[in-house]
Amino acid sequence: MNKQDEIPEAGVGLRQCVDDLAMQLILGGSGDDRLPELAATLAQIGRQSGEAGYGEAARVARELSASLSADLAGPVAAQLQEGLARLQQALSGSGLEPEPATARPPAIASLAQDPELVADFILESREHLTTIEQRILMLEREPGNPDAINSIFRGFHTIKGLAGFLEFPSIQAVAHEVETALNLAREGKLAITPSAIDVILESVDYLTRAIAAVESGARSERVPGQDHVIERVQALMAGEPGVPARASAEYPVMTPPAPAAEAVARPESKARRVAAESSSVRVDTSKLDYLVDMVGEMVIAQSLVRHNQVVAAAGGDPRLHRDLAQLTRITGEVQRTAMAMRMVPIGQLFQRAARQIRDLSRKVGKQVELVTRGEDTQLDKTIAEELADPLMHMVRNSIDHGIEAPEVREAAGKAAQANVTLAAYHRAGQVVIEIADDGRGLDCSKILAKAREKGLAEDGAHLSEGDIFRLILEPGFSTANQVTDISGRGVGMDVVRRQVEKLRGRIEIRSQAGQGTTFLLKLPLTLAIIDGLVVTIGRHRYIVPLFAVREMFRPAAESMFTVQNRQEMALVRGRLLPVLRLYKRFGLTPRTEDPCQALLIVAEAEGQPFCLMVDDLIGKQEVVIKSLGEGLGKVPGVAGGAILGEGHVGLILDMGGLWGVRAHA
Amino acid sequence: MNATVDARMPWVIVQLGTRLFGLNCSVVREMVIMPEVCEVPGVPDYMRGVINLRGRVTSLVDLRRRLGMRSSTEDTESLCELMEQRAQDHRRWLDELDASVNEKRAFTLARDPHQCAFGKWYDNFKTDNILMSGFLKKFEVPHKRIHALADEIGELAEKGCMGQALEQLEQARTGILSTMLRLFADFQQLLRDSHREIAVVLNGSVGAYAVSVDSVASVEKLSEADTEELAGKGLEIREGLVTSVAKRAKGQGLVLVLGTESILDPAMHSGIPQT
Repeated sequence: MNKQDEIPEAGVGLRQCVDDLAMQLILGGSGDDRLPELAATLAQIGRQSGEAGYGEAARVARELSASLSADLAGPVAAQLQEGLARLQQALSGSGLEPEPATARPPAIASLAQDPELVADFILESREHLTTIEQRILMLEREPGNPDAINSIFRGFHTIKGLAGFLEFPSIQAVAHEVETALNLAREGKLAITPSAIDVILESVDYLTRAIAAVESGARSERVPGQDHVIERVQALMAGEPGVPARASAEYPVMTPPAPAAEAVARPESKARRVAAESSSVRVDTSKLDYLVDMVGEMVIAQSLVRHNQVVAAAGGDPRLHRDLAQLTRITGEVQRTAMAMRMVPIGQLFQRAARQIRDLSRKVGKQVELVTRGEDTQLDKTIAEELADPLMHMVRNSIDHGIEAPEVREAAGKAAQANVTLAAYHRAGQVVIEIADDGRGLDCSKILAKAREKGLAEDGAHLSEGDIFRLILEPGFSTANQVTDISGRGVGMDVVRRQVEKLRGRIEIRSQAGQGTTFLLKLPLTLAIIDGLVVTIGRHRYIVPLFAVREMFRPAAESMFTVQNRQEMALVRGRLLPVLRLYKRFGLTPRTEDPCQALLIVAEAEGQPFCLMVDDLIGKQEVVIKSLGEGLGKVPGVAGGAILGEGHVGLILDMGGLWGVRAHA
Repeated sequence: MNATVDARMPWVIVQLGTRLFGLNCSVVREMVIMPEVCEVPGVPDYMRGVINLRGRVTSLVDLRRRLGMRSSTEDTESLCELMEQRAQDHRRWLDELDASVNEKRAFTLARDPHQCAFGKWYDNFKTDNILMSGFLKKFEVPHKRIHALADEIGELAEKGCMGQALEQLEQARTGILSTMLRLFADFQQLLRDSHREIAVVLNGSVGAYAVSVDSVASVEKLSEADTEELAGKGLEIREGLVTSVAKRAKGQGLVLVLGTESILDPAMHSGIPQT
């Protein structure tokens, strides 16, 4: 301890020297002409280490220097590298770390520019921040939990270390500040109060922003708010009751954390990193997508072989039968494995929601407890990413509109603390996500009144409860008269619905007055494959996504109407639905122009049912969705292309796009 | 004219109609016989659709249309339509011969096979397609034969051998005319069948895309054509897809060099030099 206090500068300088040397060796090699110079440098390091009290380091350096002078012609590069590694170890092994706050800008400028290192840093820091956030929320519930404090401390410490290594001074400074505060908390000199939690969360937010800046390739990772965050942390350390005066007096000296903690934290994080590296491989997402794509094609090709007439005729052959069954099993397994590679647990999303619920409930003065279930439920990475915003929006809605103020709840005979449940599970080949609150529930009469006022529902229309609930998903339903700080910013549930539909999912709403509301998001397991109906128009083939199809039928002449000589309508189960003739929309020659000879598919787009007129239905097929390729970025009404059984390309229809164009026409 | 012709690199020379175009071989990924094309609605007319390139959906540019030329399908179809008309010509020709004999009036349509519309076309039509030129030879004899009927039957009618004349007419209908009609039909089929375009797959900025060409002439090195020489021939390069003009070796003619980076840019003009 004494030694450390006396000579930190010398230790830092020596480490630097050795690091530089190692780097030079790696970059420049060890040509024979440079060996005497190297030997001299090493001898000097040896002397300095001796003076600074690093006995072991001094010995290693002398040894190296001697071996270099003795054997100038030998294969020295490997020997040198190994020796330097030992020297580095010797220097850090004595408990000395370069003191981050006072560290000079390291001479190795190239490290910070190494994109791979920076990418690793971003990934690892984010992981740490997620853990930290999770632990902070845990700490809030049990303020004394030493495991939580330690874990948070380690997270900040590692980020600080990495940031120092890669020269991100702003991240390093903030992480250091928080780390110092946490160390006080660990020693019982700082109480974990809600305001302390706020400050730590604020610093997490700052680091998240700074890391985003690093990712975006900004020249400096420093983002606005650094000084403010540091001030807040310092104020926390200085001003909180329970912090002894000595601690705050000590603070400007920036006492480094106890060496024991350093020694524990560093090897552990290194070991963990090594373990993670050996058991996982980082793969470019596009490669993964291509794999999933091709596996999808393989599954389809496999099913084509199975259903080939010749093969089916040979079905009596038990051996062929067995081999085919085996092939099916294997392709299915390969597909599941390939899909699983793109899957992530939904827990991360719930994590974000937990944080948001905490902040919001404090802001609006409501007591909310979050219950999560099925955090391990896996779903497609893209879906998880795209789902984040809608999920946050719905959680905001629940707290803002769904949950009553504590007094209201108590008056209604409910517990003052409300529950918000986030649950996820797999059901019938879909991922279901539940967002449930035990708040006031949806008020049918209010919704209906508002919908009428906005012209979303006709006065005389008789609507079922489900229909009424669905009105809140209509565009223009959520509007200005309920703007609060939290929700109702002009984006309403219609945005949520659009996003969910973009992911080919559906929203279901269940609600009971006074008991609460449950939103069910039903999403596909993957975006790569869809079930589709193969339909024809003339010689062209199209695929209608099955999830958008309600039913299909051949209309009778008396069920077709033309409104105002313009809009054609079909009577379907007592409802008049607009008819969209696909051949007209796409400018094709159909087999027939008579709807009674054609087929009407009742499809749904943005909650609106309509009839799509096509010539014939050929069948149902699972297809892999593919983009149309370069130069055909966004084609209205077309979601993508798919390779059909015979190797031809078919276009997958985009109901939203078709309907949108029809509506604007 | 910003892009210069790199004389060290081989170029893929493709044919569109009568013109030759050069594609930088470093952007050409592969060349395949045109698979079935799936048309995509609501896109610029030069985007012909998408094709299946070994499991990858790839967009296809109709390079003729992109360069403001008539698409080769249109070319083929209009030739087929022309042949259909010429077939009808001969049907009507025989009808008229029949009528002139029956009504005892002069026959005014072409007696010389080189004077009918098909004959004129036939004598002037040139193609380097061996299948087509080989097939066209089959027209020669029956075509001469059918036109010779005018004199033969006319002579019989003049001699008053009406029965013989009418019998010959009837034979001609089931014989030589139907032979001619079948030849016309087969020729149209051949035109459509031999209308096999090539899809040249190019590296785009993100993925690959294909362009349709009539045929691939060769892969060879080119040298830059002299601007003055071009000016002498009245060729002037404007800003567009055609970035420069190159010379083939041994004076085999000129090649229009295409700047592939702007093929998918709708704002870029074809820039085919005017002669």
